[in-house]
Amino acid sequence: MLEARALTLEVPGRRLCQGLDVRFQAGEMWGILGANGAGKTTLLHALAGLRRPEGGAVHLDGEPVLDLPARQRARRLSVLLQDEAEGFWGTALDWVRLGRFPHGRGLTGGGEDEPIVRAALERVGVAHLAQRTMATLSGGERQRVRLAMVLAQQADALLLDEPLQHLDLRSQLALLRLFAGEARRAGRLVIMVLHDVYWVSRYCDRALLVFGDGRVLHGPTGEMLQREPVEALYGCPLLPVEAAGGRLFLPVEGAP
Amino acid sequence: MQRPVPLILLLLGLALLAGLAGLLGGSVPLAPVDVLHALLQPDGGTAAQILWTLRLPRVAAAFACGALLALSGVLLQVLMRNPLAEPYVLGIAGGAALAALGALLMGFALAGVQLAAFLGALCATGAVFVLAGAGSWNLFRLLLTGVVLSAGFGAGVSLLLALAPPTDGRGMLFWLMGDLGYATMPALAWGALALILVLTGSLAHALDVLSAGELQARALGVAVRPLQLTLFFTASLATAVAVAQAGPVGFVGLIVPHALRLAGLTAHRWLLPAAALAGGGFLTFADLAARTLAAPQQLPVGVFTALIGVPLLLWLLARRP
Repeated sequence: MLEARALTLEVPGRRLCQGLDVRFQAGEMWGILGANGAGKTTLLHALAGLRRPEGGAVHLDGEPVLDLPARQRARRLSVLLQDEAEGFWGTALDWVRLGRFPHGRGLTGGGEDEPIVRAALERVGVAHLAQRTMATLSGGERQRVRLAMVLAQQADALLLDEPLQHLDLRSQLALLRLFAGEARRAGRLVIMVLHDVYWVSRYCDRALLVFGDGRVLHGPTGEMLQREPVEALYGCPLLPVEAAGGRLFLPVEGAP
Repeated sequence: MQRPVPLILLLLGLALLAGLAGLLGGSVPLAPVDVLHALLQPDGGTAAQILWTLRLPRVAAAFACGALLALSGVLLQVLMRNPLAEPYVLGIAGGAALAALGALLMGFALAGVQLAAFLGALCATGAVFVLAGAGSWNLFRLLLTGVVLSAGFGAGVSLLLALAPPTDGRGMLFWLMGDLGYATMPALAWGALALILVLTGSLAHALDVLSAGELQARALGVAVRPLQLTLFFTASLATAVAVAQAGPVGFVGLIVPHALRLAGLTAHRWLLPAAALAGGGFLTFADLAARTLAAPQQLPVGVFTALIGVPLLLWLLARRP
């Protein structure tokens, strides 16, 4: 449903990827991995139609994503951005209601949108925070509210930039299960930028590795998360350990 | 906000009260019965003359200017995503003041001075727009350009005041603090107010989304740059109209949106009409104080908006952790 064709992305002085071809299918869970500054967020923004690529194009259901009317795009594709709730004056409920904006007259606080908004807050376990202003929430609480907005948008593709940041272990697990349900039961496409290789190995069907020097690898998670590519990705020696249905990569002491 | 409607009704009641008080009070107090009579059956008596030629235009102008300044504050705070943004942050007041002062010193009559203030405000807007990159700005650059131009205009105003003959300077100083004594065209301000309320009312939901951040708004399907340009020019127009009538009255555009947000009004479809009512009522009331407290002398209304605004804002800020 989402497809990068010959995608080339550059930031000043550096090429992040060149001629990248990837097809993201409905029902798949993708994990994007890479070191800090490798270009994961830039890639996600390009996929979401928020950034014009230096070459190639991104197509959503066969149409160039940049050519779609903005609201129509936002009805089909929702994005979780990193830390964008700063300086918002409203409550958690107000924030989640924003997710109904692409669907038209959805911010009126009533009508058919309100149950969707309430259900989204419920699903990520923050219904009790609805009337709190965003500024008074803790980092983890705010992150859940931000995720609730993405769910309230009811798009078929979820592009999530570090969805697990600020979350405790139990919440990480709960939300990954929720996303997996979105992909497997609701047939949505879920693409997540993550820093935890273990979660990718356990929950994602496919992995995309961004090396930051122009190289990008992608494929089935089992093939991608081998010792050599992951060591090259993070630039440090790692020891793979199979555990609890996934693969951990433990840093090895003493090596360069 | 759970119940915005009672708050809006309260503001409406206060605004009507301020308007009524503005009609009754002044250097010649009028009895309510006389005001009612003069309003319904203008008979050419003293009360009717005072009411129709002096009080009513002035109260109407005060209300419209206050409403315009408060709306401008709301729009600029969303545009800048900065709670300290206010109508004069983009150098509009400075441009208006410099042009008005220049026109005054060149001997123009009142209408000419007001026109100069309006044109000065628009020129300042245009200058900020072009110097900040003609729409390809980032907000930081826009804000800095406005601040720098404001400083420049301020220096120009000081220079003109220093060079001006002392007799011309005093009236001008009053105008620079905000003074409704010269407001003669309430119809123009009301027309601008109606236009801006309709326009921004139709954008209320997009404004809610924009207040969540520029990139977030784009992700949710808002055409951000056209919206930002609309905000920029709408806020500038509102400020230019208000400044041309009333001079650069301070604090209305800063304190009214703040007070309403702290009271829990954050959704723009409520915040915008509430700001118009509260801003209008606030300036009407402040103008009444300016006209009556030292009557027959009239004081600059800007002194009173500051005297009321500063403690009110401090109290509101102290109330919230």
